[in-house]
Amino acid sequence: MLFNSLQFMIFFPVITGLFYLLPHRYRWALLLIASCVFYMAFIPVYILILIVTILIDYTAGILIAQATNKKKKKWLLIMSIISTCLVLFIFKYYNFFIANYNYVVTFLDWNYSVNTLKIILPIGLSFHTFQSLSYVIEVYRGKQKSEKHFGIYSLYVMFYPQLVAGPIERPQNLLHQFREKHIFDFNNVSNGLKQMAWGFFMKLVVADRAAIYVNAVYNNPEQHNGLTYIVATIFFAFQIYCDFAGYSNIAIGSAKVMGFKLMQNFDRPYFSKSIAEFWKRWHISLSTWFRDYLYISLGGNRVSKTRCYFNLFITFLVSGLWHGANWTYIIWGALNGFYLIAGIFIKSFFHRIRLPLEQRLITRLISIIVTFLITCIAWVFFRANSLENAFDIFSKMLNPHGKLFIPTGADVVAPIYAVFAIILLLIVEIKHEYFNNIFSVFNNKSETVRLFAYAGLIAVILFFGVFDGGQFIYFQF
Amino acid sequence: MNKSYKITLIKSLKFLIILILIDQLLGTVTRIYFFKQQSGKYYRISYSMDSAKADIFIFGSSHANRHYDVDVFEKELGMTCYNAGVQGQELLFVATLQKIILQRTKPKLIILNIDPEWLYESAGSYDKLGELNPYYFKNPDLIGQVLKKNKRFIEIPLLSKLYQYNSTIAHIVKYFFFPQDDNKGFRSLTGVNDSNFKNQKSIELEEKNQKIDTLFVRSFKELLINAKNNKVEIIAVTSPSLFGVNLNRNFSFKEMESILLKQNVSLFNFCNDERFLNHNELYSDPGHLNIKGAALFSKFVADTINRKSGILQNVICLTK
Repeated sequence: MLFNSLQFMIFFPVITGLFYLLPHRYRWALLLIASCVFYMAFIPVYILILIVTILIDYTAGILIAQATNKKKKKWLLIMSIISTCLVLFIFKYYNFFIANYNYVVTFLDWNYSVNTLKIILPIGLSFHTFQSLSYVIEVYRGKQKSEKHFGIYSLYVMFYPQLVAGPIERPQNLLHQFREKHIFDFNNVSNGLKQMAWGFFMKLVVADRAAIYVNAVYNNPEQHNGLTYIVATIFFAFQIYCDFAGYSNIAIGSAKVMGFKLMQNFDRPYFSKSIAEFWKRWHISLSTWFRDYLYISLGGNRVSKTRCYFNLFITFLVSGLWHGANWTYIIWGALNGFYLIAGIFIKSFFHRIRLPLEQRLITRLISIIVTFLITCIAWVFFRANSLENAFDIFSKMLNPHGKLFIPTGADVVAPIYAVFAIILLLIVEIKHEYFNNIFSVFNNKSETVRLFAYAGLIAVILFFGVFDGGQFIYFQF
Repeated sequence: MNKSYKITLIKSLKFLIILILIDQLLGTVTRIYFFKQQSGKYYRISYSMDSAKADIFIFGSSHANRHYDVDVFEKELGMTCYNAGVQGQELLFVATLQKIILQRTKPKLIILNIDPEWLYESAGSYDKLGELNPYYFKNPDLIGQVLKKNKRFIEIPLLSKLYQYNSTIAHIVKYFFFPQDDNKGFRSLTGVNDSNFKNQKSIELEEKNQKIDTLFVRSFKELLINAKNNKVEIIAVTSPSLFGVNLNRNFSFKEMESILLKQNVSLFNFCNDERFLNHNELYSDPGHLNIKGAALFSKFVADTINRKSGILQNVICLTK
């Protein structure tokens, strides 16, 4: 079920109402059933894959906790990771590896090609796989008790607000919340709904509006010039941010309405002054997942400098692959790894220079713009349909002549709305980033101003939102 | 009642009242300005629905809108003509527009420009029906019925006036400051095509084995039957194409051909017509004729109607 669907507009209040009406002991069951319904709205049969993942890690968690022998614990952990990742591999990466294998085989003129599978990637597979993995790893590390209640553990993996696109939660943060009694609290409800409203604005007004232009350009790569690609890529930077951060806001907000606290996933990433900062503000739940379970496991920064750079690079390479089984994502990850390592060198150089305040402000502004631009360069790989397309786009961008593409027909005004929406978003984000203490309509002391501000936000969504935009981009991961 | 529930209830009510007030106020202002438009796409749709009267009505997508020069038809056939082609729209919208117009006026002849891929499954075709939202309040039963085909609970968001006029404000402002000329609905294109790109959609359709949407088939039949029930002569025409298109592999077109045959409706197929094939000078872009091409094509269509004396005889008989 999509958050931006009419079904969800009915589903959400009904489930929330029932949640508060039911006695505490039945609430987990209600949420589990609701999560199944939510997931089965996509491809019902794929719930079986989720059940397999849940069964594997539920059993592994208990066995790991019971095991007294360290070797056995480790062996159980490895088995559980391999089994869980095998499901992910079959559905997400098998065809990619086979396609590449076939390419090499054909190139070498060997007659050993293998058929690919005709399967659709289950929605949000990487998200719930990682959430499930974090549970067994934490149990193995002794930071989390194994969960004996199968229903509660299933709910930890399937909790509908964050089931298909995160935030990827840690068991320490989420599992205990299912056992706690959530009392109806006006502040939770109000803050949750406000966050959801902002999420809908990001998704429907900014992301889906920018998507109209981006798709028109990126899906017809031969037809557009460099200038058009530059504009489309900047639009895409906002599209992907608002699509995913919008989803996260709706997820966090809808959980908050029921009294659950999910982790923050985005923190105005385009105000980052470096790529390192960008990754502390972008998809925080995934970045910290890779930091905690991959980067640190590889040795983190407690190794030689060269090895530390290698660890960083590998972490970003895997992060790229996590996003999709395509060379474009792998290059995107590698490029970010490269940015990060280069950033460390540049930082150590500039660190020695002391600038007066005025110049520091200008440097900060330049850093933000440069970080945004190099992020945009990486987004080209993320959005391009193939590596070939991406390189073709770059060659056009280097020679940006010609007229800017303006869509025809009904979409003619899409770029105007997109620009308007991005400006509106930036005003709000600049205010929150730099002027949080001055006048705010959304957090005003006067209740009337607040009510009018949020009613105005809903009015903007109704008036300018795209209601046929469809899925969230991150569902495919 | 729990204090928290009470506060929530009161504040929710306050919020709802404010939201409804904003929605109704801004929605009403937008509605007024929406229907005050004097040019542009929405103006033409409104005019077609509410006011246009002519002996000949042309229906279809942008191909209809851009290819049928009303002056040529008026001159060649001696009848008044209005071009109700709507840019970017497809069969479901065209069929609805035709129903609304025929409730109000009965032309003598309908020229339906069909796009060969009209019957193929297309989510976009349903999404585009949103352009009917501003007219929902005028014809809730008919338009609601069509909109429901895309969204089951569409009546709920349509309670909001702002939603009804979603995404229309830029059009209103744009055409207020920069009016768009049209000649009885017809909008010619200028310039000469210099692009070598074969229309991406036609390539895809040739390559993919697309499925037919049964709802589109039903809608197409209804469109033809509705004209007959209203005693309006109807003919179908396919527009010329710059590049050759293999219509034999186009199941949508084949299906439309067979429906037209069963309904005894004439089809004039100008697709792959050599007088237009590879003639860049007659096209503004790979998909659309320019003013010169449109005049030539309109002349050919009018001549064909004149030549097929049966059509004009039927027109005369039906109007008697």
